[in-house]
Amino acid sequence: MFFPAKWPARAVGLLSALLVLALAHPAWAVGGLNNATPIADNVDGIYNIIYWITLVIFVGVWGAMAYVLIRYRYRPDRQAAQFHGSTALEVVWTIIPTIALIVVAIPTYKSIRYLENVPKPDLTVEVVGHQFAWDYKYSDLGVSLYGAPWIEAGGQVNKGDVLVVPARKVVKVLISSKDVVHDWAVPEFGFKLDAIPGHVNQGWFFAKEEGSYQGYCMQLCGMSHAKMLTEVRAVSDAEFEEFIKSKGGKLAPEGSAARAEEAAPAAAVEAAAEVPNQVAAKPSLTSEADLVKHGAEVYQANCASCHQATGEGIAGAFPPLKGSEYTTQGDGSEHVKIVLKGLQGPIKVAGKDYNGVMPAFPQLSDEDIASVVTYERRSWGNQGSVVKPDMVKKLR
Amino acid sequence: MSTTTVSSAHAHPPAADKPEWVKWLTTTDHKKIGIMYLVTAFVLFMVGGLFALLVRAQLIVPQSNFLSGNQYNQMVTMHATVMIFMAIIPLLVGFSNFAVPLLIGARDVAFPRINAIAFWLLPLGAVLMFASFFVPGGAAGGGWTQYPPLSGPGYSGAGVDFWILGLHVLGVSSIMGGLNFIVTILNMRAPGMTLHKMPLLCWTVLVQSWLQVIATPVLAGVLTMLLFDRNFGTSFFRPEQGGDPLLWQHLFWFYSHPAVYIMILPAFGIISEILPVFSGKPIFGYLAIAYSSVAIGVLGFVVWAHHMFATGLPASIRTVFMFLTMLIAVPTGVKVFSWVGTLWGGNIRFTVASLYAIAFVAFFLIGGLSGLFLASIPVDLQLTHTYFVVAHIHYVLFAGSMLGIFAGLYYWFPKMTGRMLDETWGKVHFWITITSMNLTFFPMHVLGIMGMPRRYYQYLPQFADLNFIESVSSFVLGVAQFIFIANVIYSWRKGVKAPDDPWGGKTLEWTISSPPPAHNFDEIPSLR
Repeated sequence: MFFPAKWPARAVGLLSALLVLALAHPAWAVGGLNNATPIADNVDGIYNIIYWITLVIFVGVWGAMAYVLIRYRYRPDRQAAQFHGSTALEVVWTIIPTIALIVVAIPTYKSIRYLENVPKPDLTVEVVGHQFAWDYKYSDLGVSLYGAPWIEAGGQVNKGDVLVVPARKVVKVLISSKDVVHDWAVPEFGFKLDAIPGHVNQGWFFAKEEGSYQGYCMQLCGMSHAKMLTEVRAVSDAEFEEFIKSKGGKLAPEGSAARAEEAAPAAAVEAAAEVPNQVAAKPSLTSEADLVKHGAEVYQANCASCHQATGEGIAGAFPPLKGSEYTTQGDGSEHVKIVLKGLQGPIKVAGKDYNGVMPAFPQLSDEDIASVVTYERRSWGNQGSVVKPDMVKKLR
Repeated sequence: MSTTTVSSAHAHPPAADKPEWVKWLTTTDHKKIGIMYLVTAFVLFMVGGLFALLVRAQLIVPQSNFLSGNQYNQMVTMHATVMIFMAIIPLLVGFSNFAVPLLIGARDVAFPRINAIAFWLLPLGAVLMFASFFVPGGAAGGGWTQYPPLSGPGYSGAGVDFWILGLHVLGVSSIMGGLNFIVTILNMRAPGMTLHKMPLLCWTVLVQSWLQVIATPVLAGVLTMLLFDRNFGTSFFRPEQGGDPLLWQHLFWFYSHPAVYIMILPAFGIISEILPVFSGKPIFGYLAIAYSSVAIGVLGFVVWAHHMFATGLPASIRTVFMFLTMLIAVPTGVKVFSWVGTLWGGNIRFTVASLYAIAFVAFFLIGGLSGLFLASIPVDLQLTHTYFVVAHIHYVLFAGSMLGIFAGLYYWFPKMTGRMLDETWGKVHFWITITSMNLTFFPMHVLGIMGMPRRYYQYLPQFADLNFIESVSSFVLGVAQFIFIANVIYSWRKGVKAPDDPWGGKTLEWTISSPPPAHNFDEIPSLR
């Protein structure tokens, strides 16, 4: 009944040989990523120690198994040896892995200290995550960038705002979130930190060369998690200066880095404390003028990054609000629903097709939503109806 | 000893009067309950697999719109939830139910009725869980880890409430089962069977049961806190009212890390039963395997924060958790080496059961080694939240737990049904499963190293090739399981009649008929 088939043994041998070859391929050891920071170099070093240790264990165990399965495969005339163990062997294979772990643990411990001790920063940036984009604030330089989700439409990628930093400078990042848990990660930097509402996490990087580095949100944060991409662009000092000026900021005078560091955490804590509303809600807004005034602030903080300050959107990616059916027709209830619940899938706005993702903003208060909707319905020449907080409360 | 089963049989009309299906539905016989666990959980395994295939179908090209972002998140969440709580854990519980009383020479478990209730809670939990697809907002989509605030009020619908209640029901089942097996194993062993003579599956089930009894109430607590946050205005996890989302992560992982061992320890036990039989030798290092299981169980409670290295915990705390995590490699290594030692010098028969057991050792090893990368904090910060973690967990839970479960199914099927599973179709199933499993999960390591984030429903073009290979392989893996199902259905009805001991097994279940009589042993065996 139990045929002593040879082919499984041979297949095991062959399969193991192939897998060992595949694992030993150097491309997998380096993972094909460029190490763009000293931290990434450091991580890569530890990765390689672990890689070689595990490869030796893997080859050892698979080699032993391949040998055993071929050498001791079933023969009707063979007697299996009868032994229960070997104390010497058991001691050896308890001690050897322990030594291997110590070999890993020592450089790992050194590396942790290196990662943790943030050097004196040349620039501090606050990174604030929200569904589904990253805001970047250079508080010391008076620049704030409001991110937008990445949208691929018609072969075009709209990247939203990217984080621009000077190359070859220590950049300290303070990471927090306005709503759910996010994670700001740049694989080539060896950098990853969760953005948690109510917490400010800090880390640092030093881009060795100018270039663009892909960043991601790496903690599931809702339906458009996969759109919460970002990019870090490391540029020369001159380009960085130009960038800051173009955004209306100014570079701090020499020697102000230390002072900036003191001020920065406080600003980030403030950002974290904004949870969940970006703009302080003003109670009992009823008149159109008040609604529009407050709505303009809410719009600037939440909507302008996609739909633009002019309300014209971006052709092909973000639909316009100026002259749109959604902002000028009906009693505004549809409009409120879109802000409350979001919108996804193909739609037609002012004769053009769109197929993107509008995130929901349930975290905004009734007053904020009524204000921003009214602002959108009464600005840029729109003549839609005024929406009161009561309607939002009913639709919520 | 015989009074438990005799009295419960007398409480009902004679069993012969009832139709067969009523006997199954009302049974308190551990063997029938075990088989019902296995069948139910395998059906749920196929459902969880279907969710996984929908995920893989979405990922076959980078910018697919087959599923929306929300639907994708629901599939990811329900795939993991179903596989962990309704497939792997109950499949292993099915083996403990069927095999443990036989292995220790008992007539049933200590509390047969509690055992039956624990089983019937499984379909109830499954119904609650699947009902969530039909509530406004659909099923829970926050991932099986369900981190607030995303799972809290304002960000997700009633699906999360159903998810919580479903897990509560499954958790109660788990605690009942755990208590039952602790009492059974400690009190009902045959005369002369000391703990050090007990088969290794019983050791691993004993440790697993303690984990279930100690850890599951913590899950129940943290689920209740989330339920209150969502519905009754508390703010355990709501930062705007002084709560802390990290509290969830600590409590959740305090359960969910031991949960990984709940899902792997009995598979270690199954392998430790099967390898000696087919190598024709005693197990190598019995005590080392038994006590390394205990060590893994204990260490499992003090490593939870290694899931949280990227949350900004203080470096000193993370370092302590890192060293403790690395320590787990030692008892795990002892086991792997002992299994190789068990094969060494043997006369190895390649049945389907032994092939699965051997493949378990070979491929679980990969899951163990990738764990070493993730234990080291700097490397973890590079690889966590990427597909590397997905690869790691699937090498532990598929290449580990599921291969162990298949080994056990092929091994004990003759004892369960009195018929042999077809070996040739079994080998076809084995080779397709092993090949497609590796092609599905191995490239995920590489994607993770390249920086591809988990839980993305659309992704950048540089990840396209490997995702395509994975998706196609996963479809093959899914379809291959129907070979197994067909084999089971056919063999159960028309397979070759099994002798009492088809494998040359040394444990007590092979001394009685296949299938065993309802009372298991005419005379309680004595090892004195």
